[in-house]
Amino acid sequence: MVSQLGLAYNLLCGIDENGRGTYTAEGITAIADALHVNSSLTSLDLENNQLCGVDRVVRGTYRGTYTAEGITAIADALRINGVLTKCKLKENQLGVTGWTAIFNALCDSPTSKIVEWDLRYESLRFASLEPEIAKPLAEYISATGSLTSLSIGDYNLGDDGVEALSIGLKESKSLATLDLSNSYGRMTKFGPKGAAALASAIAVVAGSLTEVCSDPQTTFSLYLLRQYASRFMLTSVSLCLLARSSTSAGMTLARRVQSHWLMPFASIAPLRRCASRTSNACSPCFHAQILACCA
Amino acid sequence: MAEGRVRVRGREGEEVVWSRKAARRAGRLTNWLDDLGPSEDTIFPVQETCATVLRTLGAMCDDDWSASCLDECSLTQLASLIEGASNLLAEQALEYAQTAFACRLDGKCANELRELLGALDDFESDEERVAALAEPAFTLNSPMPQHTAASALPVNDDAAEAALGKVDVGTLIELKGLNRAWRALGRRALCSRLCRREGHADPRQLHEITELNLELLIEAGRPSEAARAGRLLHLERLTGYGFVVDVAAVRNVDLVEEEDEEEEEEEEDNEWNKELLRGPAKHALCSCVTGEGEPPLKLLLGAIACAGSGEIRGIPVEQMRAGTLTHLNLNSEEAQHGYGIGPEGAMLLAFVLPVMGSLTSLNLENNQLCGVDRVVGRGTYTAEGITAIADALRVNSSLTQVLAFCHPEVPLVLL
Repeated sequence: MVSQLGLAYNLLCGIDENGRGTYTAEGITAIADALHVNSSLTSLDLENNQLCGVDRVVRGTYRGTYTAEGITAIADALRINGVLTKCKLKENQLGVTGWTAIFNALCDSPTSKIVEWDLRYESLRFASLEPEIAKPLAEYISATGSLTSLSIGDYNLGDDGVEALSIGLKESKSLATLDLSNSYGRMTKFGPKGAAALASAIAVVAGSLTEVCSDPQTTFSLYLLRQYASRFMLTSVSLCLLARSSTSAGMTLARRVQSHWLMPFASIAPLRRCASRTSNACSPCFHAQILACCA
Repeated sequence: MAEGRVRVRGREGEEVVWSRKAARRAGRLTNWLDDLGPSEDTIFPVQETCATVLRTLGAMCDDDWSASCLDECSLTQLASLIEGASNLLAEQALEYAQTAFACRLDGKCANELRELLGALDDFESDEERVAALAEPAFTLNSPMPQHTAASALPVNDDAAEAALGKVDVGTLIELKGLNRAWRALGRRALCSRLCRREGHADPRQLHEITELNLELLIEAGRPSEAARAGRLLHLERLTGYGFVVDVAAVRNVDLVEEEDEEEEEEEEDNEWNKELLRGPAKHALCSCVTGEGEPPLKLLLGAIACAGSGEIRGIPVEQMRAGTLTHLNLNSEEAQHGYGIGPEGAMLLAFVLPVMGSLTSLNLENNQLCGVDRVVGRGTYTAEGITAIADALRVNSSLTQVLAFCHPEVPLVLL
């Protein structure tokens, strides 16, 4: 039976990529209802279906009218479903309301097997509300035993949000990868207070958390490096470099890594080549993996 | 005999009095009255039926009787009334009792029905029970004599089948999951309902099935039975909605859409044509169907699912029906299928998906499944296609193994 189903880019709620049309939850509700009983689907891709009736912001303008009917139905289904490991909801502009519905449902679920969430590519519209996601997300992270990967780079959590997230992170039972790198080239917005809290939380759960991705220019990255320069608990630290700042950023990073970990320069050389190649290929970003054990 | 009264004696010897009008509504009593002109002292013996049942039947055949009187009857009592009415050829009473019986059962799942009917589960394993529920609706009982320890109902076989005369097809399918006796009875009732062909005896083996009522299966939420029936080598006709489909003719229809440049240009300017069937392919398919007016889309999709060849808008219907595909990528951008399969294509997929026992991955990205264009928003929203896909997903993976029974390499006689 079908274990992987791709339904991305199908306008399941009748709203197009310009936010036009009449919102109808009938289609997505039918899928949600099926998830209550289906026990073969492990991966469902619902990306880019304008599930909440809105589309991404262009030049600060937000298109469509937000409604949570469809995503609430999906959240209710995820609470019951005990088979899905991946439910891709990226680029649906779920906002705080939508993601909170998802996290609260999963927090209550004794059966959920979801292993990853990617919250990137969300709208700026909800920027002022973004820190509100931190609390339900933190509660979910601390409650679940299945979540292994979380990408949250585009969210403007702020120091308070990051502190709240850090509390949940400390109690995480399963998270292995935390990606704070940014899809749009915006910096993850939190300052030294949040960075310190997060780096400290990561140190607590370093037994299971084996990979952390972050933009190299951020304060958090420095905190993170400093943390692990002495502990060496992670198997790898991935630092996401934006292509547009490729070579120079790579060199900056190399110098920082060298100064923190006292690594021989030869270990950094492959990183430089990687940075140049990615820049030429115009790839949005790449991960430079630095093995912590190399020190 | 006193005018207006007829004496009837039941199995135990007890006598029951019917009105003459009621007696006229029972074929056997009518024949007796007409043929023999019995005196008022003559008693009509009904050896097969007890007096209690005869008394109720007499009342049911009267003018002032109300169907609500059956509300107090148990299902066993209703079955006895059906048996008695069948014996006496009392059509009105039979219909009342069948309707009451069906009302109690319709819409319930196997577990609810088992409790309602007090049926003991004698399947050897969970797999056997699941298989009974998942087998094709037209599966027949083995022609070899069945040795079942218990009957489904405490009435004779014909009456038991008559008791299910008005039970809907979906419920008949659920009844097969109660126990072996109910599976046998359910199969018989379904065969009679789905495969009976005028002028032909009821089929006793799969290769004798030449006709299938698709309307009953579609309306019972089992559209995929059409694809399963496509493996019946001797199937000649699909019926439903007042139409008859010539299966052999459908097998020869070229479903490939011919590109019409003018039409394509017109579509660029106007609304995207989300119809799966159009042009010569639709004309050829409709020529395989006889009946008044235009056949409904559901019937045409069922015909394609059953006997369509090749591909239609990129959907490899013939390969899908064979059940061997493990991956199916219908992403219209990758496969360059233009505007995608649309809602009607999704409905067709839903007809065939449940028989694709080997399929693990299905990619339907970029297919305008709800009829609306992604970028410019052309088209009218419809949830019919995505709902059909969702319905096809309403399965439990424990059925996976059962669906393998329908694999073409497994001889149909095992079904």
